[in-house]
Amino acid sequence: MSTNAAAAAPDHDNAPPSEESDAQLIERTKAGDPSAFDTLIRKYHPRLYGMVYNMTSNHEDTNDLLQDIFAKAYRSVNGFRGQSSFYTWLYTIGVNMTINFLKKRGRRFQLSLDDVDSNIQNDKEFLELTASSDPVRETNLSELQKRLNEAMQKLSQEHRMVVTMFDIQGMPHAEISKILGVSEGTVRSRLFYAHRQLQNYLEEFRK
Amino acid sequence: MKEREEDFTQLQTLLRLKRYETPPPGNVETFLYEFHRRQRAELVRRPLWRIALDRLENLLPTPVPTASPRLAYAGACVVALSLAGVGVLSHGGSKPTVAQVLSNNAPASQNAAPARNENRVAAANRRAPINLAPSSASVRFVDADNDLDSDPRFSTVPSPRLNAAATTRRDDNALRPRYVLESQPARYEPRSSTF
Repeated sequence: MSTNAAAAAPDHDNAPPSEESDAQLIERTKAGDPSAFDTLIRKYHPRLYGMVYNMTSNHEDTNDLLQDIFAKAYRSVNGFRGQSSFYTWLYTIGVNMTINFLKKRGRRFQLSLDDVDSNIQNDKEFLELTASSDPVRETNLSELQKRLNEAMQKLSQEHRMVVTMFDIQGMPHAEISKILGVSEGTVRSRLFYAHRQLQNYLEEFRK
Repeated sequence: MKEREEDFTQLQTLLRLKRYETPPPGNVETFLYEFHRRQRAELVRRPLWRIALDRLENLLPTPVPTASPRLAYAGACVVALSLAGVGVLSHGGSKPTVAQVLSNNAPASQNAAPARNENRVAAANRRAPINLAPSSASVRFVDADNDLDSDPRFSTVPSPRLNAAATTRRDDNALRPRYVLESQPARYEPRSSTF
């Protein structure tokens, strides 16, 4: 387990706020200032990383995909009209490219997992879980991490995506439906089905 | 439904723990370094016409009606051609012939004049057997001036000063956009171009 003191919070939204708004940064990028886009990368890289990583469960694939995603966003930034937030626009690019990548990758891949932040030991929910559930308490973290990722990979890409966005990244149903281009009812339906599947895969961790 | 929600609570708690999976420290800076490196490499690989098209797009005022991209591009071409015409007029209508360029006493390597006529000389010299200097395999160049063979002005024998190796390297360097590559130093000479 890594002793990563820098990434203290589990919520990937804790990127340092930029002094400039996204609109200003985008205008500077369009004007040809590459440092503005660097700022956008620093701001949104953690969140996008989380989405891609939870979909691929492979560290190397995640980094390669993110390079392609941000490269495409940079090439397409002139086409961004501000009808949605930049993050939603960027995230949509990321979702589409990730799904395309996974279709090409197929099932031939290896789990290449990131380390788990040591701050998980201080997480209230984790503490409650280990206190109340013998299977969770008796399983070491890396094994738990591995089982979770394996279970996620058993889901279809569509179901894994809604679980990633809703359960892991905490996005609301409305935003998920907008990004995926489906109705909120479809999002809820996929979530329910995915939860039921995951519960079966992780039956051993139920108390 | 409530019973189902309660059943999923523990599962969702487990899933939220995946937020603690983080990349190693310094990942973003490493990512940025690699991002810039890939951008430079892509820029070198891109054909000139593509770069020119992107520059034209940047010249367009925003917002651009997306329903008529062709009209927008046509307008941009008119602007570009007008600017090019102004550039030609400001430099005079007549261009020096090959003989005039070859009779220039300045050494080829120190000649900072626009490389356009040297391009023509070098392009004509390409027909002779020469040792091509190793150039980056990732660099591609699309030259619109392809009809030099029929031009009688370029049938002269090159001056001995312009030996094959120098011409070849100059040819490559004159025609290709020059960037700092990992294994080659950059020699950039400004060209009289609107871009």
